[in-house]
Formats: sequence, C-alpha cells, structure tokens
Amino acid sequence: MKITAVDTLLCRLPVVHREGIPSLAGVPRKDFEMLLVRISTDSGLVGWGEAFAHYGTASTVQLAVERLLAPRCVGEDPRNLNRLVERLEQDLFRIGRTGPVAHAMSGLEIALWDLLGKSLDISVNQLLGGARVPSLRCYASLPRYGAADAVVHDCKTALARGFDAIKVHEIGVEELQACGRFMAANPGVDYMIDANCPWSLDEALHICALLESGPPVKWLEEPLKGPDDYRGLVELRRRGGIPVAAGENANEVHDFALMSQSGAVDFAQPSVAKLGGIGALLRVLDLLRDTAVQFAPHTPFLGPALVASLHVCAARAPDTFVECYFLDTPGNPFGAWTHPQDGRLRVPDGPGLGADPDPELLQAVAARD
Amino acid sequence: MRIRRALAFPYRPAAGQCRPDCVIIRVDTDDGLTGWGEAYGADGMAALTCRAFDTLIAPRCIGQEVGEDIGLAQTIGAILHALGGSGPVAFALAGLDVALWDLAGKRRGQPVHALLGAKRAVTLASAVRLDYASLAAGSEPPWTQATLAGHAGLYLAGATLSQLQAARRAFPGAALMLQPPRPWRADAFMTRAAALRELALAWVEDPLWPLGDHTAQAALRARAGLRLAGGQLCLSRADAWRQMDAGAIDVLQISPTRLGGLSAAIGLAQHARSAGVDIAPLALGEGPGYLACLHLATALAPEALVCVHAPGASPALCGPAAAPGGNGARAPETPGLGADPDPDLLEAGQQRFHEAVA
Repeated sequence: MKITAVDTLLCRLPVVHREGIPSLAGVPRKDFEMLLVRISTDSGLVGWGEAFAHYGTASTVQLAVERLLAPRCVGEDPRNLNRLVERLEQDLFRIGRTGPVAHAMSGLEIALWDLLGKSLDISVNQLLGGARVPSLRCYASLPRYGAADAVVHDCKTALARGFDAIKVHEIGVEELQACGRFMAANPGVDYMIDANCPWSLDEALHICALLESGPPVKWLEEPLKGPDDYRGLVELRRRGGIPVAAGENANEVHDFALMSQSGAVDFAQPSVAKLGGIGALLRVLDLLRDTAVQFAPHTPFLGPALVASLHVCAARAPDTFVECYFLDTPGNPFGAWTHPQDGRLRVPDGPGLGADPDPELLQAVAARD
Repeated sequence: MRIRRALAFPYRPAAGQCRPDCVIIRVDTDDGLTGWGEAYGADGMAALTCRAFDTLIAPRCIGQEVGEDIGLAQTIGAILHALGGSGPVAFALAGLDVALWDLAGKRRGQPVHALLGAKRAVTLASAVRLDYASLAAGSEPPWTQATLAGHAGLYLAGATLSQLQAARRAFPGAALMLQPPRPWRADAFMTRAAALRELALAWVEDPLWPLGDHTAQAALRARAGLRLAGGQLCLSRADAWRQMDAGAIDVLQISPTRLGGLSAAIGLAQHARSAGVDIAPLALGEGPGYLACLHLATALAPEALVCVHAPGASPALCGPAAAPGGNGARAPETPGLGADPDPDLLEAGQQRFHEAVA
C-alpha cells in the first residue's frame, strides 16, 4: 500500500449557543474550527486524522501539511507508521518539535493509525490490545462565558443532560464564586476549573485561597502564565492546597517526565492533536506508570482527535475521565461518535478509528475559503 | 504612537549568498516611524512564519500603543500560548519583538545597544559559518586561509568527522565549532567523543538525540569531556533555563529571531551569567536579525564570539552595516538597529522566494 496524497480539510461547525457567545483567546466563538488531515492510498483506503487548530491557527497548520509533510509521505507505505513518523521527526527537528508543525504531524499520525487499523480490518483499540470498557465517563468542558449567569445556567444544562462532572473555564472572581455556589448546592458533581494560563504565582495562590472556602475542586488547570513553568506549578501545588492539572501545552513528551518527577501536577493532560498523536499518548502513559500522577488527556475536539483518545483510554487507561467539549454542533460529520449519551462516550469498534465522517455533513461544513 | 500596519515578507537571499530564507517584519506607526525585524524562516519555515504573522500576530498589533514599554510581543505571546513556545508563531513573535526594539531606538534617537545598556559599540570577535551541507557530495570544501581572515574561528555546520579533521589540519590555530549534521544517539556520540576531543573544539552543538532531555545531555557532557552548546533548539524560555540549570551546556547560543527576540535575550543572557554558561549570539543573515545580534552581543556579551555568515557576493539586505565583514563585527551607532532593509533588495528577495515556491 502506498500513500498517494496527504491533504487537509478545514471544517467550520456552526455552534448553537445556549447561553450568550463564549470566547476563545478574547475572540467571540461563533463556530468551531476542526482541521482534518486526510491520507489517501492506492488501495482506496482513506485515513482520517485531526490536528489542533484552535485560536485561528488552522491555515498555518495547513501549510505545514502541504509544504512539509505531504511531500515526505507520498509514495511511502502508511503501515510503516513508526518509521515514517521517526523520519519526519528527524527531518523536522529544527522546526517541528512543538507548535503548528508538531500539530500537523499529530493529525497525520492519527490518520496513519486509522489506516493501519483499516488495512487489518480491526479497530485502533484492538491494535492496542482491545478495549477494556465499551464506553468512557466524560466531563462537560464548558466554554468560557465571562458571565456568571450564563455559566451557571450552562452547568444546569450539563447536569440535565446526564453529566456528573463539569469543568468551567472561568477566571473572574464573580464567575468562580457563582460556580462555587452552584457546585456546593450539587454535591457529588466533580468540579474542575481550567484557567488557561492567566496568573502569576501570587495571583494563583490568591485564587486558591478563595477556592478553599468553597466546594472541593478536583483540579485547577493551567493556573500559571508560562505554560511550561513547571517549577512554578511545584510551588503552587505545595502552597495552594488544590490539585493541579497541566500538559496540553507541554512542549514535547519529555515534559511529562519533568512534570511527574518534579511533582508539578496531579493530573497530566497530553493532547493527542498537539503532542504527536496516539504514539505520544502511549509514551506519556508509559512515563506515568507507577507514579501518582493521573492521566487526563486534553480532548476539546469533536472529531478524529477525540475518537483517537477514546481508543487509547479504552485500551490502556479505562478509568480515564474524558474531556467532552460542551458545544452544540448539530452539523458535525463525526457527531455519531462524539456526542455523549448520559455523560458517556462509547468506544467505536469499526476498523481503524471506526469513525469516518458522514460525507454529506462533511460537504456541508467544509470551509469554502 | 499606535501601530498602523504590521507586515511580514519572505526573503530569499541572492544566489551565492549561502544564507537560508528568512522573514522580514515591518511595523509602521502613526507618527511615521518604521521598525524592522527578522524572524526565522530557514528549513522551509518562511511561508509558515509569514502565515502565522499575517493571520495571528498582525491583527493583534494594529492600533496597539507602542511607547517606552517593549512588551507587545510578550503580551500577544501570552494570548497565543497554546500555539507553541517554538515554531512559526513563536518565530513571528520574535521578529515582531526585534522590530519593536528598532522602533524604540529610532524614537529615542539611540542605537539598540544603548537601550540595552551599552555605552558604545565595540568590535566583536566573530566566527564565520561554513555550510558543509551545501557542498556537492564528494567535493572538496572551497575554503582557504582567506576565509578565516579577520575571524577568530570557524563555525562548521554539517561537517562530518573527516571533514572536521581536515579543517583542523588546514586551520590549526582557529577556534572550531561544530554543528553536527544531525544529533547522535548517546552511544554513537560516545564512540566519536575521543576523536572530537583531539580536535580541541570550542564546542559541539546540540549533540544528543532525542533532543530535549537536558539531564541526559548533562551526564553525556561529563562523560565525553567536550564543551557543548545549545539554545537554538530550545522549545521555550523555560526550556532554555532548564537546559542551563541541568548543566547540559557550556555555551548558550542566543538566536533572537527564533526565541523571544531581544526582550527574551536579556533574561537568557542574565541567566547564563548566573549559571556560569558562556554566551554565543548567532548573528546570522544580513538583515535586521544580524544587526539585532550585534547590539545584543555589544551590550550583554562583548567578549562573546558571534557566529556570522561569510560575506556575500551581492550587497547585504541592510547595506554595508549588515555585511558580515572580515574585520570583526560592529553594531551601528545610528538609532534603532542602525540600518533598514534596502527596498529594492527586499522586493527582489521576495520575488526570488515566490518564484522558487511556484
């Protein structure tokens, strides 16, 4: 089998807003951009992957696929996944160990696993030894509203839809206090806060003190400004009294060794669509074995990146709590596999990722520009 | 003063210049000043760095106040922290930062090295970069004693062990620095260590594969008995600090067009001093990035050996001030970086880039 083409498809999924318009990096979020990486082969099999493309970075990642990855892949046998990925890493070590080129490589790697499974007619979880559970528990990962009423209302909606765990992305004191009151009134619901790197150590300690008087927080995620300020996280964890999560912005897999050895985190959050794909998640799991650090992958995705993470969790870490982006995107071509029921996502069992996009929906959401 | 316009241009040096592509950044303010910067564009990155600048950085610059405080690149970098401490977004931000320093110097009527605390320009010792990877297979390197004239050393990029040994025989007294063709696995590096030690190299750069395990490199450094350099491939400022703290390097190579511009270079240089690590600014190219490095070295490491490209056959993008000469490198005394890109050369370099891609 030989690769005949590698290309990308940018999908813009319209978001149905329940509560106001959420924002990302200060930009109002009217739609959700999903960047698919597609590998075509001379066998007729097609592999699908997804690269991190939030924050408006899709077009840069697309250029990376087009200029840097595709020319190095065409003509290769996609089933030699390890060799192909290692060659890309060696060719691109000056530019591709982190950032958009690494994100592009992650999307490509996921598509290679999809193809490998399809070529053998087994699922990705079977390639990893088989799923230990048919479905995984999820938490609702709410978008950032920056408005107390909106986020509290969205928390209620999440519970009504069957979730028993909620992560908010609020950083304002008023919003956090409102969330705290809601969680206090709903004991038994797991409560997480994702700050997205806004604070200095002192500011974060101040927030920890404020949270201490409220309901338990399962983790405080990325509280500090420098995403890889692991020394700062060690200090915050020691003095703040609240479990810490981080890792979606780790530079590379080795960062997880640093985090776990130095005591920077309670929860490690590798991102399949940023860090190098399925192989990267497996390497992180190896690093975390026999440590007290729990695996909590970063999966605010609605396509192959989420599904790839489900396969890894089901086969290798079945107790994992999966992040489920709480956005309503009715036209999602992967909706059949990424839309939770009663707070759970089932693990596909078809060949590869077992989650090919619906062609008509795909056509409808493919970006025209 | 507010930013009116922020632009990125891919630039391909003229044939025979032996320099990689780069990205030139232009920032115009509403009081009529223009600042110039440079971002990393080698290794096929120019198009990506430009794309990142145009789509992610420039829209966040327009209308922003720039005055005494040169913090805009860090502010935007904090917003875009999810897009990598290295890679095209980081490179574009580094280029923006350099342009903001140029603007600040022009506004105050002072050269950038003065803003960085230097009283005057000094002549810097330089090492000239020789690119072995560009040689046709089996061909003899064309370099002669004249290549070394005016320089204190040779920065050998992509040289094999036998090429290094030949260079040592040809240039017995020169400082030789090695950028290996690619990093080695630990055991492969150790089998070469004795031969490398005999060559009395000033340093070996980023020798260990996989990259990024600074503790492993520190252990290797002790075993190999070689001076090691690194910094260009660091994935963030925190990563560069960790590399120094781990004892992985003897020499920090500072590359303002890759990592955080001049603003980050200040902190990196200070940390290097406190960690007992030498500093080697990489003053490559012939544009704003080259000039930025000269100012940086002048202010923060006047004793440093700066790595430069060989003088080119064609005029340098930023004119004679940015032509890496054979008589030492010296930062201009004129305001800002001291020399703007020549508009015709910039246009021609852009055209060469686009023609090659098409």
